[in-house]
Amino acid sequence: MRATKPLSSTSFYVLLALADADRYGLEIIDDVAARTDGTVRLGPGSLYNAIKRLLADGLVAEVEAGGDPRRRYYRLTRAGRAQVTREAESFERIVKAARAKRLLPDVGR
Amino acid sequence: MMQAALRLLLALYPASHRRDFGAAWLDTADALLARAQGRARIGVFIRVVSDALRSLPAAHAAARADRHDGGGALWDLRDALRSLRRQPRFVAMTVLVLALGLAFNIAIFTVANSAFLRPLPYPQHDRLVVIWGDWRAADFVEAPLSPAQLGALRETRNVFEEVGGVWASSATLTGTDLPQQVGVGRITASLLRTLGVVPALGRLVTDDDASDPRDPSAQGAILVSHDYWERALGGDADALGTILRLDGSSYEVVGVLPDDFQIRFPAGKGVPVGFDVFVPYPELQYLNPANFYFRAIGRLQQGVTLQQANAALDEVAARLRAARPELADSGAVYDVRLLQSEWTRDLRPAVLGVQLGAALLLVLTLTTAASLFVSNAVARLPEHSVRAALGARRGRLARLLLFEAAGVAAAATVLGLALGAQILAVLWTQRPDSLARLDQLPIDARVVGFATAIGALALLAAVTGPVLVIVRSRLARAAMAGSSRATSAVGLRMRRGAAAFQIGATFALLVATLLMVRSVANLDAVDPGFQTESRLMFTMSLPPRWFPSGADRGRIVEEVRRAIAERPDVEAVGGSSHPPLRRWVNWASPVLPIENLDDPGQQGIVDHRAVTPGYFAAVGATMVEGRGIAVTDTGGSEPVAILDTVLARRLYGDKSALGRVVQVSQWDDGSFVRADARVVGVVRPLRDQALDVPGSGQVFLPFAQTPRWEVGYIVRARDHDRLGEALPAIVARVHGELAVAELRSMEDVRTNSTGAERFTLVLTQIVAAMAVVLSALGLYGVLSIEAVSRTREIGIRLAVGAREGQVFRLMLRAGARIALQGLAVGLPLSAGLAFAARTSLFGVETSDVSFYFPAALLVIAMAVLACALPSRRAARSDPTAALRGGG
Repeated sequence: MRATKPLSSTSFYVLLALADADRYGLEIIDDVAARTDGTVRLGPGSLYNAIKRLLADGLVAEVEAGGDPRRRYYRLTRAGRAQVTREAESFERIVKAARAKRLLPDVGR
Repeated sequence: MMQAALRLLLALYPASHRRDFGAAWLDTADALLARAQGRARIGVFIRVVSDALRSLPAAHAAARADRHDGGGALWDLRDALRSLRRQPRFVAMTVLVLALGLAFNIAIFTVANSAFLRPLPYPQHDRLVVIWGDWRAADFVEAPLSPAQLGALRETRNVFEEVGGVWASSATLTGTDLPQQVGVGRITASLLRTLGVVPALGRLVTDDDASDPRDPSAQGAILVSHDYWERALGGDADALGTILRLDGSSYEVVGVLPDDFQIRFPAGKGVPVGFDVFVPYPELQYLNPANFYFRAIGRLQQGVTLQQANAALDEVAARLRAARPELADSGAVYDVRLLQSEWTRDLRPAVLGVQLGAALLLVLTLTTAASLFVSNAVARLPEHSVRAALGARRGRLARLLLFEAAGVAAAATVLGLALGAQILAVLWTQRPDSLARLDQLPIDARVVGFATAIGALALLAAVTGPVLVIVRSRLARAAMAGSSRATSAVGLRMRRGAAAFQIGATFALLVATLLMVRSVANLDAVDPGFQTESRLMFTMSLPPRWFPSGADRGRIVEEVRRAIAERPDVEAVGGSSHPPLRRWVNWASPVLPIENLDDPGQQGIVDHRAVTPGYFAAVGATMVEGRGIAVTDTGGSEPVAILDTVLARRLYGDKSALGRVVQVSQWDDGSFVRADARVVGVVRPLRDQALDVPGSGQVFLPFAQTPRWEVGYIVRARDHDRLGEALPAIVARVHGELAVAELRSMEDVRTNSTGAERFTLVLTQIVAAMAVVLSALGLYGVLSIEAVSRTREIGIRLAVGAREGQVFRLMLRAGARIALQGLAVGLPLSAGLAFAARTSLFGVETSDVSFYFPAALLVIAMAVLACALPSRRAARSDPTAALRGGG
């Protein structure tokens, strides 16, 4: 089994974007930009580098979607979902600690 | 314009990336640009460009990593070669060991190929046959044919397309400074047609060219061999038309035969390897039908099988026997055999025996190489386990090992071919006469194919061991343990087995060598009935031009003998129609006691010899009764005969043969004449044809009473070098047209006659020596590893008080176990090898196991020597270091 190294941030965002739907390249860029209020704007170069790595690691898979055959849709695999969930949980723990230290405002109980 | 720039940018990505994501990248970039308006578009463009430039290095790195990891047998090959380059000593040793084994086998196979497999270089070679005479009544096989028999064959157009005959003789060529003896092939013109010869220069002889050789005024046609043309006629095109004088008759050179022309005929049957010139026979009907001398080759009609040919010829033979009086009671039939298989049949036992020995040597080198590879794989286990940890699957590791082994095997095959050619060249200069007829030993497609096949075996040997080691070992543990002690146990069993087998093969080869040594010694010890010290031999032919009648020839032979005998340093001299071991064509004729001329049971065709006075003394024969030929036994006096003891016993049992009368054949100017001769002496048999063949009876007649065209003289003298130089002049002084030929010492002749057996012996000795070295190395290697793997045990023993001697003996016992296993394997191997070689052995029974003891002793001695050093090292090891480090 391959040793699981932590995802790069680009990869994390791509997985996040695919968490709720299968998307193609432009959709992923838009979703990431929307979720991060425009602070993270992926370019096509880094996007496809990340997708290539994620495909090789088996965290995403390419799917046939109806419509434009030139558009390549990507889907989160089970391993990918597990990985992104793990990382999201670890982020949550970090955020909780930051709130406890008053670095971040409380969201509300 | 932005589109163009984007496409340019895309081109900077690696090809695999472009293939996989190029279109998607372009689409996404286009869509991003399309969404932006006005000045925002420029911003998007800049962002896309900088993102691309930033991600380029990562994309290229990823593509490179892909190439290394995923694919490419080509990359594995490169890795394999690099890995081999890092281990020069291992590679050198394995390539060398393999190349030696391969080279020897390639050399022997090349000989076997030329002798047996290569098609004869004649057109329609598969239809060429040898036609023997087979005398059923006299149990005389592979006999030559008479002109009548040959003529009858020419009439069978339904069986043969062409039939031709040859008879070998020699003649004196005059016209140059000193008369010269040349080898003459007397042929029917049809023989050249049968063999499909195309002349190199000029034309072939035809039936019209035949002339009667005894008519001195006629001028015939003659063909010269390529070698003779270059040697004696200057190799010029204007040699055509030269007149040569052969035995006083004139011949015009009408053609030169090609360089590679040879009449390929079974050995020892009267057709030598090379002729200088070829002279056509007259029409068969003009030749004496009752003389049997033709060696016949025919070409079967298309579609006619051997069986059909033999059946058809049985009828021809029956008709001939009815028509010809000299054949009536002979039961003579024809025996047709394929030339391709017949011409080297005598070589088969020896060559196949050597091939078997070479095969054993190959197995030895293969096991040695396999052992080397196994140790190498074991030593590299840590390296392999690191590879495995990095994700390489075992299949990939196996492929890497395969490529390494292939590299070594390929190098060894190429080197083996080169070395094999060299070995062949060296062996060829030493070859015995029996191999002389193989004029070409090319490395042809079949040899290369054989080399590739055994190269593949080498590959198998090299790769099997390491793959087994990798598969069987637990790589992770090996990497962690790191101790050579643990890892060296791997493969030890394989190496022990290999060493045992090597010892077995060596034992078998040693037994074979000892058998051959004894065989050659037996041959040397044979009492041939004559002696060879201080004796010279030379031959002389008597040209009919100068000595037309039998009386002339008898007289001149006696004059030459007297001229030589007059010299003070000559102790004895005599001549014979068949000087010992010269393998002149055997003459045979019936000798019948006068009391019993019709008894078929006693009809025996015996070897017929014409000898001069003084011959038996000169050649050192042992007279048992009576006398030898006397000066008074001339052409006009009473016919006399001397029998050998075998014939005397057959005819007269225990009673004395002296004074008895026998009917013999006297050769009288072209035909045999029966005459009654009185037995005046009995002599011990002279093995003049071959040392290992006991004769079946000989009769010696006075040369003067049965004169031939050729004679061989034996001269006994103390200082035979000086005498040898003087002989040509002495003979020329007697008659200016007489040439001295083939002057040699009898000792050389005797040694040469066992040339083939000695050659085989030398080859066997070389193979056995190599086998001893290889198996010693194998055993040494195994014991070293054994010692390492038992380091802890030895350390404990030494620590609790064992003496060095005890440890030494412990290790020796381990070696002895392997040696004994090897001997057990070797016993059946030796029996097999001896059985295969049985026809090459003389005076040795293959069931004779007394040779096993010295061979076993040699093997044990070698094993002890091989084990001594590792055992001593183990005994001297430091117990604390052994216990601590574990090796």
